[in-house]
Parts: sequence; C-alpha cells; structure tokens
Amino acid sequence: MIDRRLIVHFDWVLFFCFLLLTCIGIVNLYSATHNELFASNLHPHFVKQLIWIGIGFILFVIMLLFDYHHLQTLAPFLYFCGLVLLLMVLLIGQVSHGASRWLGLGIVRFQPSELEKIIMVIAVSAWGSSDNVKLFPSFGRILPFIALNIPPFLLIAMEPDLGTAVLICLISGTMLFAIGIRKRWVIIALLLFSIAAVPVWERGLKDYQKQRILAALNPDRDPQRSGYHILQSRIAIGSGMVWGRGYLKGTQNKLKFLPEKHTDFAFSVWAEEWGFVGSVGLISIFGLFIYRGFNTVLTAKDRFGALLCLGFTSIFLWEILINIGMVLGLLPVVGVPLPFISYGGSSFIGASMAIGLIENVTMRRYAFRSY
Amino acid sequence: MRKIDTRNSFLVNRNIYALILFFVLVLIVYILRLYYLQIINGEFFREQSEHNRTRIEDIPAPRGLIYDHNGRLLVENRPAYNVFAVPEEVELERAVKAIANLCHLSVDDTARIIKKSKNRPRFKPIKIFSDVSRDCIAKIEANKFKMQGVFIGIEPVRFYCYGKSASHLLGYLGEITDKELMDLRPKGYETGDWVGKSGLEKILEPYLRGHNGSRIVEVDALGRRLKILDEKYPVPGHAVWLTIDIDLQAFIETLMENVSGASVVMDVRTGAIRAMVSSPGFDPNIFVKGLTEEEWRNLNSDPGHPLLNRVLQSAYPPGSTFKPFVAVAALEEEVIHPDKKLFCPGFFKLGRRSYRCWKREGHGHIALHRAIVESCDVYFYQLGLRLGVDKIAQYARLFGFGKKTGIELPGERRGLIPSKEWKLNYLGQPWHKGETLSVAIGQGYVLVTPLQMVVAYGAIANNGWYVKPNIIEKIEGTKGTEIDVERHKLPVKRKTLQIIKAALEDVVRDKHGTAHKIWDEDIPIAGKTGTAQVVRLREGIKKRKRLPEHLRDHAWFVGYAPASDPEIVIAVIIEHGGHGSSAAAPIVKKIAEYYFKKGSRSNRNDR
Repeated sequence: MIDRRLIVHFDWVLFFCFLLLTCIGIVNLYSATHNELFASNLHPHFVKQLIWIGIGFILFVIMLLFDYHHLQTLAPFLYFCGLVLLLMVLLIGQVSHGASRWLGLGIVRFQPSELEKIIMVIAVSAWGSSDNVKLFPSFGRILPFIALNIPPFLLIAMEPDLGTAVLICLISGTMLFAIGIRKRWVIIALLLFSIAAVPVWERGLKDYQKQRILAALNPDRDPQRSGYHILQSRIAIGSGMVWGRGYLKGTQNKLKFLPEKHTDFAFSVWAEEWGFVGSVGLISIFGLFIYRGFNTVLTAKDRFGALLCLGFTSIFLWEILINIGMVLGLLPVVGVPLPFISYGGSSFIGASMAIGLIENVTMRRYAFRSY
Repeated sequence: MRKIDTRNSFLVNRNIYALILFFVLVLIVYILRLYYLQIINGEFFREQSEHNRTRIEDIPAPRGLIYDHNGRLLVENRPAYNVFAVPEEVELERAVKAIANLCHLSVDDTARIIKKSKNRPRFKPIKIFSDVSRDCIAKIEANKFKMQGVFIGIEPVRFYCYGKSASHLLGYLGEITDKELMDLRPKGYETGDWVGKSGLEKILEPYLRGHNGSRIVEVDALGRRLKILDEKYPVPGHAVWLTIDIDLQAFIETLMENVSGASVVMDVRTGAIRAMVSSPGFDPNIFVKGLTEEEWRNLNSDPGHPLLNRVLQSAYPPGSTFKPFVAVAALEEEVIHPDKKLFCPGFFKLGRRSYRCWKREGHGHIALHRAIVESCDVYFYQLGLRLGVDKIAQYARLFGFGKKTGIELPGERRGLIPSKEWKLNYLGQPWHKGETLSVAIGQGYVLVTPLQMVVAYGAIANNGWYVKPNIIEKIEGTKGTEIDVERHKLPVKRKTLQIIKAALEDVVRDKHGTAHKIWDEDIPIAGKTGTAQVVRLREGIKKRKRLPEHLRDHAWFVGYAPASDPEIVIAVIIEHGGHGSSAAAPIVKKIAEYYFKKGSRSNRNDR
C-alpha cells in the first residue's frame, strides 16, 4: 500500500515545475509546427509529441511506485541492457541526417542514448554508493568508474553523436565531483585533456564539427553555411525585444528562417515570440526546477538516493546550459535538446522518468527501510 | 556502518553548493546575453528579421516601342520564357543536362552558369536557359515533379518585327558591361540589366528605358513568395517614331541582298531619312538570347562585317561623285568660265607623270557642263590645279564632307578631306601637285560616307540649303513633338548651283550622260555616277573585271528626283561593284520608282 508519508514528502514544487515546463513546451511546439495554410490540421509532430507526453506521464507514475533501492541491485543488469541497446543502434539502427541514433519499434522509433543517460546515472550511483567507495576516493577506486564510462561513450560517439557522448561523461563527472575528487586528479585530468585537445582537433573531429565550433566563435565568418543556424537564431531572439513578437507571430519561426526550430532551436522560437520577459521567465522556471532538484540531493536519506538525485538533476542542468548557451550563440551547435521544450519523444520520456526517480527518492527520504 | 544522521554526509556538500553557484552564474550570464540581444540590440535584430522576410523584386519596365514614319510597329516587346534553378534545391549541372535533353537544347556553358551561381544570396534562382520555346515550357511543366527547384520565369524581351530589316539603325541590346555600369549606376542600372549597344537602341536608351517597378514580397527561408506587401508599377519607356518608311527600307534591302554596300534615301526638304540600308545585315533578334562567345566571334570576324552600318560608319573614296563640288569651287572662285573649253586628249601630263582620263581616246575640247555629264577626268585635273587642294577642301567642307552630319546614330565617321595642312600634320610630308589631281576626281585621300554624300547632294538639290539629316520623327512625351528641321543657306551663288544642277540632270537625260541608261521621262532623276578605285590600276591589266573581287572598284550613284523639283536624294554604293553607271545607277532608279509609285498610292489613301 502506499504510505501516507510518501505523499507528504512528494516534492510538489518540482512536480509543478515539471508540469509548467511541459505546458510551455506544448504551447511553443504548437507555434513552431503551426502552419497558417493548414491551420485546421494539427501538425503530425505536434500530435506525436502529445502522445509521447502521455506515455511520459505514465512512466513518471510508474517510476514512483517502487523503492529506488531496487535499482541498486538491478544496476549491473540495466547497465548491460543499455549497452545491448546501444549496440543494436549501431547494427540495426535507423539512419537519419547521416547518423544512426534511432531504434525502430514498429511505428515509433526511439533514441536509446536518451535512456542510456538514466541508466548511466543509476550505474554510477550504484558504484558511488558501494561500500568500498568513500568520499574523495583514491585513484585506484576511481578506475572502475572510468571503466564504467568508456563503453557507452564509445558506442554513442560511434553513432556518431559526440554531443550526447560528451554529455554522459559530463553527468558522470558531475557525480564524481560530488563524491569528491582530489585537486591533483582534476589538475592532471585538465592537463591530459589539453594535451589531447590538439590531436583530437586535428584528427578526431569531423569537418562539420570543427566548423560548428569555429562558427560559434565567429558566426559571421560563414553566414550562409556553418554560421547560418547561429545567425538566424540570434536574429530570432534579438527581434523578440522586450515583449516579443507575440504568440504565433514570430517571422523567423513562421517563415522557416530558423532551422531545427522545433527541436534544438525551440528556445529561439520562444524568445522571438515572448521576448526578454518570456525568456527570463522560462529561465527562472528552469532555475527553480534545478534548485528543487539539488534540494532533493541534500535531503536524500542515503548516498545512493543522493547520487541518483544529483545525477538526474545534472542531466537537466547540463542540457539546459548547453542548449540555451548554444541557442544564444555562446556555445558551439551540438545536438542537445532543451528538456520539455524541444520536440522529441525519447527526450521527454527520459526526462519524465528522471523526474519520477527524483520524486521516488525524495518521497522515501524519511521512510525506513522497506526492503 | 552507514552514516544516516546528517544530510551533509553522503556527498561533498561543498561541491554541490559550488555546482549550484556555477549554475546560477551561468544563468545570469545567459540573462545578460538575452539582455544584450533583445534589449540593447533588439531594434537591430528586429530590422534584420524584417529584412530577412522581405525581398524586393524588380518588375521590369517594358522598353519603348519604335514605329516607322507610317506608324508601323518596328520594335516591340514579347515575353520570353526563362528557365531558372535554385542551386540549394537541385544540382545545377544535372538540371541543365536534363532540360537540355528534354528540349534538345545545346548546352553551351554549364561551367559559366555554375560559376555565376557562387556568391549569390541563398535561394536566389539562377537563370539556366533563356528564351526557351513554348514546347520546351510544356515539357518542363509536364516533368515538374521530377525537377524540384526548377521553375520558369517570364521577362519582356525585344522583338524586332521585321527581322533583318533596318537592323543597323535600330541596333540591339546586350547585357550591361562593368564599364557601362560604372557610368550608368547612378541612373538606376544594375548588374544584369540590358542596355542598347548600337543604333537607336543605344542613342535613345534614356527614352526607351522605362522605370522598373518593384514589389516587396514576403518570402520564407526557401525564398518562396508568400504574399505581396507593397507594389510600385513600372513606367514603360517612351515610344519613338522614326522617319523611316519600312516598306521602302525592305524594298531596298531586297535590291541589295547579295551585295555589300549601302544606300540612303533622304527627304531633301526636311532631312528626314526615309531608308538607310547597309548590306549585309544581321538579325537583331539573335541578340535577345544572349550570344555565345562563338556566335559573337563569328559575327565579328565575318568578312562582310554585318554589324557595320556602312551608311555612316564606313568611308569610301567618292570618285566622280565628288566632281560637282570641285566644279562648285571652280565657279565660285571664278578660276574658270563655265563656257570655257579645255582640251582632253585622254591623259594629262604633270611633270614626268601622265594622268589618264577614264575615256582613253579623250573627250576633246570640252566645257564644264559636258565635263560633268561625261565625267571627264582631265577637265577636272585642270580645275584642280587651278584651285589648289585647299580651295577644294574649303568647298567640300562647306557641303559637310570631312565632318559628322550629326545624325542621331552612334559611331558616325568623319570621312577625310585632305588639305596641305592636314598632310603636313598627319603624314609629315609636303603636298604634291599630283595629289591635287587625284583629289579633284574624288580619289587619293578623299573619303566620304554615303550619308555625307546624300546630304551634300541634298544641298545642291535645295539650291544651297543645307539640311541636317535626322531619323527620329518624334519621341513620346517630349515637349517638341516634331523635331525641327535644322538647315542653313550655304554661301554659294544660285547661278553656280543652277549650272551644276543642269549638268547633273543631263548625266541622266543626255544620251552621252554616264547614267543615261536609267533615263525615264516619268521619273526624271538628276545625279552623278562614280567609280571609286580601290587600287590604282597598273598598265597591262586592261579589264578591271578580271581583278579579284576585293580589288574591284566601288560603284557609286548619288542623285535626286524629280530633277526639276527635288523631293528625295538617294545615294547608293556597291562595294567592288564595278562601274557606277552599271551597278549603282539602276538601283537608284528602282528606288525612285518605288518611292514615287508608293507615294502616289499612299497619297491617294491618306488624303
């Protein structure tokens, strides 16, 4: 039976942020996909997203129902399943835009790398809360953590989806940072990174990836091609001015000057139509949302729970920072969606499951062991 | 043992606070960035987005129409169908090949088209074929689903209704060059505009060109037009009426179809050019598509020089047609009495050299009248010597030789009337007496254009009134609808001209006259034949007809009709045609016949 305390400790603020952001996402997606010529018909993307949101909410509820401690025992199995899914993507995945990122499931398709983020958080949490890992672990203790990260990183990078691969490492890294990491390791890692940066830039990165990074530094360099996304996004955002162009009236959006406007550049659509006021409003909601996420980390009743909350929160944290930074032209263009706002079923389902699990942890923070 | 008491103990809380701080700081940076983009630069980006979504399209103004004297349409505009491709949506090379196959067009220069497609705004269509047939349009439309990014645009282009007819004076259009653009940009010309390159199209460019309209359209990122936000209608160019009679023009063109040469018909009283034929000609309609380099080369290197308007862009030695002006000089300067006879034994000795008369057996004792009628060279050698070259030049210039007539057509040549001073300045040599003899019979350095000829004979026919030739009757929208006749009286005695006119009349009427073959009582023509030597004939080659064609003489006839009350002057030159009497005079006769027959016809119809 459901304990009454579980309801009491449910984080309603976090949940309402989730609901509010989802609503904003729907409203914005309607504008991004709306077409005056076919006003009577809803855009298929819009309908699909509504279905995904429905499924997402069901999964959210399912994520609340069990005690998260089971995940600790399930972690190796989940980790294994995640790798199998990623392998399947490489072998039988659907190719789109030159990358194989999707798995077909009958009529729908799914992006396993979104699920992998959640699995990795669970796996790292399980590692971090195992008995022999203490705060500020020694290098020897960190080795399994590094080993844990390498296979999914490689598999996702081979899709190729370097953005998500790096994102997963960032999330794991954030969790490691919370467990505590000695300064010297940080310094050594930074040194290694900067030494590796040159050959990676020369050999490892594809041309389009380099172009994107250079374009972020100076979009006017090549306004028609690599800089196009950023310039058009900047124009869209800037032309919103204080109050915005008004809902459904963004010309950059409606006349399709904005590329990827319903996915990666959804924030530009919002900023164009709702202006500075709307943009700061949306950022504030995200701020509150992340703050509540950190709150659950601080109030969790054990390290596994705390790590889960931290991991899931940092998924949102990094996605928000990277996506908005990219849309504002401060970071290179990488395919990282804005949680709740960008179109994408896998992303929304991943997000709602993550929130479900955060709520799961925070609901049980005063509960005694139930297993 | 698990530590479960404090909330700080599971993780390094210091680091978690650091993370929160980092997050908040980054969000603040983002808000500052938003402030920068939306508030500080908001206006700028708003403007950019407006610029993004609107596009200004030109609506080409129809060029002014050109009519002939009788109101016949000579030049109009027709729609041309051009095929465009958007390189973002279709591979140019493939599209060009596909359409070329579909319509059996030749692909002249795909590489050039592709080169042109660089450095152009995104989604701006490139013209890949101009002026394709309706058949081709139908085929493209039928295959449209296979050719995304290919579409058809309509543009008005010039249509020369009479094809080759009057091509030299009408001229043609061509794409504006960078050099022209530098001058014309302030007048609103742009790259890719078409401008008049020759003839009236060039001279009347400011009138014929209208003002392009424009249309502000809303476009999406694919450049598709969504709606028209604002529209300014184009103002068509002014229509122009010419003095030309296109029927006469076409008639003369058929007469001269197989020869190189020129012919002008001018209204004696007004200077209105009724016909201006230069042969061979060209069809200005071929310029509409834009010539390929090869076509252009061929046209330019054609030995017949079809682009040259021989009436005013070529200068020829006038030969005997020059004699009347020498006679005028002699009478005015009173170096000879009109009745005074000079002896022609068939040659004239000057120093050690002997100068021949065209008539080997000589004309015997001969006075001015017969000297003109029978075109005696020896008589004129002697006049030349009495006058001196400078006096001849003075009178020749009086009649307009050696300078432009000022007709409204480009590229007019001056011709050349030599004098002592000229030779010293340009050749650095003193004048020889022998050269004066050549000048006296219109050879040597003397060069005139057929147009100058017609104008000078016009002045004789008019009893000394020099009339400036003109070809534009009126221009729509200008204040003086009829262009005034510009004329002035030459300081030549009436008596002198009467003597000359009587002689010119007898050139045709008198049975000894050099052009007696064309005598016709109904249409009395007065005029003068001329046979202009291209090379000096060496002794031994007796028959000029045996000479290779390009060395044969030019045949001239210049005359006016009716002889008693002149109405028109006609000049005809047939390059390498041989004798003026046999090659040029009959053409003049046919022209006069046609003119007066048609004239009486149209008089009946009009009045």
